[in-house]
Amino acid sequence: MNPIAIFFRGIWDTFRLFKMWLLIFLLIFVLAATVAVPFANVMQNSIGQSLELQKLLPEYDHTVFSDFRNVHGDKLSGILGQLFWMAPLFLLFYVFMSGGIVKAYDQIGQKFSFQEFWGNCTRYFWRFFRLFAWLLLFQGVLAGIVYGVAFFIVLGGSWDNLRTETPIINAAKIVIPIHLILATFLAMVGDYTKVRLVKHGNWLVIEEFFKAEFMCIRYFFRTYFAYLLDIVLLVGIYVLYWFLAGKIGMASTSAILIMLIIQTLTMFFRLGTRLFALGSVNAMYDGIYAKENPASEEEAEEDEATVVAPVALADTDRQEDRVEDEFDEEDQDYNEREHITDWSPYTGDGGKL
Amino acid sequence: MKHLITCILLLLTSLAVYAQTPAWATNLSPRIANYDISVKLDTAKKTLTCKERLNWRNDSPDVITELQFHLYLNAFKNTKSTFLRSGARFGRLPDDELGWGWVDVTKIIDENGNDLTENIKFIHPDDDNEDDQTVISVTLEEPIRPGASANFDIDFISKLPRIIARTGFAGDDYYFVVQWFPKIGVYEEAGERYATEGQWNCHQFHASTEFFADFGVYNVDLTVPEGFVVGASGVLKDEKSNGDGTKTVTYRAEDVIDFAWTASPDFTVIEDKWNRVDIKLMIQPEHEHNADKYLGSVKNSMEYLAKHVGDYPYKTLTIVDPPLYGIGSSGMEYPTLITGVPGFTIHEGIRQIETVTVHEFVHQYFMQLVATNEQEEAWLDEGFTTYYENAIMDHYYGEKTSTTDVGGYHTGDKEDSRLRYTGMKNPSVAPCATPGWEFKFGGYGDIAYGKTGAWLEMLKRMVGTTTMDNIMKTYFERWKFRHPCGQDFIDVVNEVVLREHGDKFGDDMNWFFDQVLYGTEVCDYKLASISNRVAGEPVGIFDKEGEKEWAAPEDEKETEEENAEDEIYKSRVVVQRLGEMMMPVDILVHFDNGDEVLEKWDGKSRNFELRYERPDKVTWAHVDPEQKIYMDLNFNNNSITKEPDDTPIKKWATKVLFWAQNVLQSMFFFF
Repeated sequence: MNPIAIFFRGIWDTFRLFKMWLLIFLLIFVLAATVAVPFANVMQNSIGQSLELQKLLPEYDHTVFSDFRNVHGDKLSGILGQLFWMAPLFLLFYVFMSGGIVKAYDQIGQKFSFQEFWGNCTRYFWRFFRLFAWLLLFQGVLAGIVYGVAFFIVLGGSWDNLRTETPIINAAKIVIPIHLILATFLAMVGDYTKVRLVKHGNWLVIEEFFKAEFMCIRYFFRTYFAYLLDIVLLVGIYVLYWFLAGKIGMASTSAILIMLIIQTLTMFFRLGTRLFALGSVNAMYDGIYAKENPASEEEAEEDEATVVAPVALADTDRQEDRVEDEFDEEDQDYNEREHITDWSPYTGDGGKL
Repeated sequence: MKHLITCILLLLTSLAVYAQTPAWATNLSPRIANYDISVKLDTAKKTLTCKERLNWRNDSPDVITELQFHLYLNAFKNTKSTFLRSGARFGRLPDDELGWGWVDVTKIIDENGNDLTENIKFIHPDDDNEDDQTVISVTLEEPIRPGASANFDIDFISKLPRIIARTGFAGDDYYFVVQWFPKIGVYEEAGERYATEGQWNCHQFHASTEFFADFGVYNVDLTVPEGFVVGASGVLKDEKSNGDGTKTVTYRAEDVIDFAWTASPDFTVIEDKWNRVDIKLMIQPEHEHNADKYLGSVKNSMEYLAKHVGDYPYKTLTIVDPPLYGIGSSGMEYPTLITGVPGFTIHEGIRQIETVTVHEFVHQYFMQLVATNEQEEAWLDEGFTTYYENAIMDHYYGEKTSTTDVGGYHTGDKEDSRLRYTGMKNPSVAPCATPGWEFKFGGYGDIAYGKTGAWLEMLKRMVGTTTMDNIMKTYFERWKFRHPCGQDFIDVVNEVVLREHGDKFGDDMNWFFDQVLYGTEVCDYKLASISNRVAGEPVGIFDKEGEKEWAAPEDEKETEEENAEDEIYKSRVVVQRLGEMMMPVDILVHFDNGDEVLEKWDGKSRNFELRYERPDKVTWAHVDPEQKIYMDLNFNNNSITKEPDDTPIKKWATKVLFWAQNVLQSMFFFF
């Protein structure tokens, strides 16, 4: 359960699911291309023959771009509008895919099958959608509380009390990091909930959420540190991107091609960091569970030769799990096949709270 | 004898100079309206209890029987004022009695002791709004004869509003006090500016207009709490404690058209100097890191304007950095006192403070020194100021980076101003020469600032920088400390352009001003097409010696590349005028052997065609290649190349692809 080892385990597992990674990336790439290609067409058809166009090659030119926007703004608005609608729809699609993604990590070692992936996406969609709705609510409430409290502390709850921007700047330096820490913690709890929903087949999303939350609190440093490493990696990827972009520029066809490759890799690995996080969460959860359930760890070792499943869970909770899964017989069969039962850090044999 | 001749010559020269010099030459200005005011600030009631002695000289040939005064604080007395009825948004209306402002003249007595208070009546020279109280007329008991001066003692109370349209108080202890005293209007004699007969020019306070007043000397005693730091127009003459927790500071401002002041205990004062001008920066402590931005930009402005327009004649300049809660007083100009914009510097490349400071300082020249009527001809101050703001910002901070330069995104001040006009939904909404209060359908700022700035830049590009500098220097020298109108500027342009360019632009430049100033036409020239065709022998049926002879086309003449070396091409370039504005333009035509031909076109016809028959094809053509016609709504359609290079499109499509992916991936960052 070394967070660093878990972090690398997440990366390794993701590379083992390269097909899935590539699939999701290509989906995003194609969707983005539906914005970029029309944009290029509008440019080509409007100012493609203008000498002014060349001013946009070495750097941004405000006059050229603004004249372009003034004349062809309607077309550009349509394209940007497309992105405006596409983004939330894609988020829903991501929610749809999350079940397949998490299940793929749960079944790491088995041969990845697109058919099974889409099947799992469908299987878990409703639960993951509800989880998404809860997370959306929780993130909203969290932001409201954090900034609301800050608003009351700094300004006494009224903008009329604002005398200088200094307290706002100073408060922002404190409040924004706090919000980011809490928001990423919430996101991490969401990821652990996803893992639990897949591993235990429970339909009661909110219950799994709170179980995951308690677990994350109990093992805060190791879970959050491993999660944080993925965020640090993401930041590092962007720092590297900006460094390279600054060095290379985009003033020639070859430089543009190189930057296209770098941008594509940046986006690929940005997506990777999200998947690494899910892989790490999956591995961390297995590790914690094994620690909390020595018996099941032995059982898992026994099973390892035959079934490359994440970790087998304790039989003692199987009855409870059946009750929870009575609305999902398909999941129930799946759980029994892989010896998965419920586990919680505060109940059952594994409870050590 | 030699000495005698020299003395006579000197005497004659002196007389000649004297004859050309205004009668008020010993002073900088004619000093028509002079004020001695004592003010006591009540910080609890937000009132100013004042005594004003006005000395006014009748500089006209008319006998004056009434005076007119601005009482502009009454614009904030209630929602029936013309100012507030206009619907312009200046933040929310006050929700308490303290937030409203007004001014009451409690007594007015002439120098002979006649009490004129009963003679006061509100008038409404611009509209029929009987409820507007921003202008009063006072009928005199004893008329003022031509050339005579008269003194009036005026008692008044000004209730400051919570800051609106730059004036008032904010919080408990920030005061920015402008348009606060009964300010006499300008009496214009017949022939002065647009007056056909002697008349008062004293407009009501409109939401979209500013001010107009005569030059004079102000001696103002300001009594404020002891701990307050005070700044004002003019020079600080005295400061003494009254021993009752208050102090009185005395300012004297000479040869100015208005008097503004500010007081707050929170100011930090930073003093600097440029040549002989004392610069005082009154800055909020939390903004001290912006001091260099203020001082640097104002010194740049002084240097640039001294070189290109004329000297700043005053001894002082005060820059006020308002607090965030007093942001309603930001970005405004008053004689020798300007306000900047409060801001916490996030990035050095965001130059909002510099842009605003430069703009407000330029107003010291155009509206303060050259005291145009801001209400009737806003373009003469805001447009000219925009033009020089653009020039100064671009000169000192980079043509393409002067306003914003952050992470590869950069904009220049001049291009920003042009885009303010060209980006309008309806750039023909009103002519530049529209009085401020008659922009009833929007466009005041975009036209008065943006369009005027653009056509002044266009004028400069057409006549050349040297001629433009000479125009401005002549205009400034001729009209400083006076009240010119638009026609006075046009006269200077006509004079200087004719002198320096002969009839290159015609007998005068009126055709230019008819379009850019008085018209609503827009300008858009377009390079419509380029075609290159092999010039083959004539084909068809020809009558030859009574017979009909068929001349057949030669083989494969269309295959240009194969016959490139020995072919003659008929090339055709078509330029179109899409807008109604007509300007002379250049057309640069480039051939594939590298030759370039610069063609001239008067820009009047709807379509203009250039034809060439030569062994080289036209590869590209560019109408107005130097972008002299700066008002052109779309520079991108000014050129066509037959050898387009789509590398920039690939670049920006790649960027869009990248950022679209970022947007999509950001969606699930927290989920």
